Amino acid sequence: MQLYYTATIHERYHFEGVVWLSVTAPGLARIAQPGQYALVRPSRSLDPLLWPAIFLAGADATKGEVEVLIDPRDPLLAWLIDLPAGATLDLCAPLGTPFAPAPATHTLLLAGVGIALPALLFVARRYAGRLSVALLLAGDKGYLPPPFLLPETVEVQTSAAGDGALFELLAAHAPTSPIRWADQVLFALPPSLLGQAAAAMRAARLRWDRGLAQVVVAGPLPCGVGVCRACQIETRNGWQRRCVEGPVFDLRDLR
Amino acid sequence: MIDLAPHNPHTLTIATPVIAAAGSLGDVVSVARWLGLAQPEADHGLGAIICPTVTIAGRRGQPQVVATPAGVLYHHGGASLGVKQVRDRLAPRWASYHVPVLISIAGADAVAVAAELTDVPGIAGFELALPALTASEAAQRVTAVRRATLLPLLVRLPGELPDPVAVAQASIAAGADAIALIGGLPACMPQADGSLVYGRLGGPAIFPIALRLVAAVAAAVAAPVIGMGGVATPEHARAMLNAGARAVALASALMADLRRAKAIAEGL
Repeated sequence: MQLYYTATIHERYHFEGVVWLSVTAPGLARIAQPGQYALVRPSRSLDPLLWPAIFLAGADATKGEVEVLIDPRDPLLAWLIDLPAGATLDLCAPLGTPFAPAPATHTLLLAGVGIALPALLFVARRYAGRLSVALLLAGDKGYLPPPFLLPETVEVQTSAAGDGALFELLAAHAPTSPIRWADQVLFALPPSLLGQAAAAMRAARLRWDRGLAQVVVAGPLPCGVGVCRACQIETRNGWQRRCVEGPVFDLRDLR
Repeated sequence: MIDLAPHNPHTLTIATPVIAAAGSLGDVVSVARWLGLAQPEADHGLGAIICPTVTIAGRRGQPQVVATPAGVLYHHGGASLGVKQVRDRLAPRWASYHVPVLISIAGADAVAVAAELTDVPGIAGFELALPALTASEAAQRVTAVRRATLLPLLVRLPGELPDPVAVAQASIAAGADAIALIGGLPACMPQADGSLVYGRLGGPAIFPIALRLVAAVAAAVAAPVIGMGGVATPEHARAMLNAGARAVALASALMADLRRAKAIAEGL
């Protein structure tokens, strides 16, 4: 299996708070799955410093393209935003264990904040044709996916009132909470919000089975291949590496 | 072929002068498929691999890796592999690889680990990581490990030694087969919340310091010297070899890019 790909920037759009890039990488586009991420840097650089990680926002095997979303305020990615179309990138990808809905799932709730949001976008776009998908996004007024990337059939709610607003959108205690009707829930969260996510699940469902709630856990992914172990997270199965065993975990397994 | 232990009957012969420094490839098994370590004709560029520190019981810990303006700060977080894990699960896999794998040992467990693992197939030797200490203290530690194993023994010196030449000479006299330096420099970086992460700095920032110390030690000892500390390009590696090193070891460069050993080996 291939781990490194040379990609060419095909298109770039700079929105108010997010930069969308489509890059040509046919081999990667064929195998990339929702929930996976890439380490990215300028083409074949001998720069020995760590590569920043970017969650994939989409992959089109027919066009041979993968898409990423970048927060222009991220200092680790400032160089990427300024690259023109035609520039080449070195990608270490696709990394991590992807998300796949359970066979019995018909309604999928996606909810998230922060740098892992593109993973939810990828899921929504991949499964919107065969599942009923709702997408709840929160953050500041900047980093939210542009509407044209979202399939028409996906129900979308956003809040620019900060990360905590996600749990207001979820309204876990209300009878109309989307958590109550979803066959499966996928969060995209930093570790600091995992407790709130578990509390929201408990409030809406009292008990929930394994597989019902999964989470893409955001945070630094220094090496991407499991050697540095700096991304370890404690689970009921012991310490696991977000970069290899994750970044998608069952919410019940996280402590 | 390069022999890093010419006076040791077990020998430590490496096919390229590029070594994976301790822990830069984790437990090695995780990345074996990407590097093709089990394939005899794989072109990964590595002559040897040093696994992370092994202690008797093994310890869970939370390593930290922090990017700095000119390098990488690494703190091991107290994590180490355990002897049982190495003997039962890892070493049998290493034995199938077409590249020698050495064990890194350090601290109070070093002698016991060397004794426990010296006859385990798949382990080609040991690397004893010394802290900043005097020549006589270094000699005591090397002597103790040498009594526990006859396998090739590398001694890794930190970058903050007041007199690395004396420590290197004392280590060789006490039974070390080769000297590796430098194993980073002590440093710290602030986290987002303002708290400091203490660890060891690697990467380009320390290369000039490492090169100077390698040149000094290589001129003073007859045993092989392994140059490490910020080696990231063929030019860096060539400078180390020109300064007297017999091989170079990659740490942060390899952690950032598994192709780097091949690029350097081909560029030499």
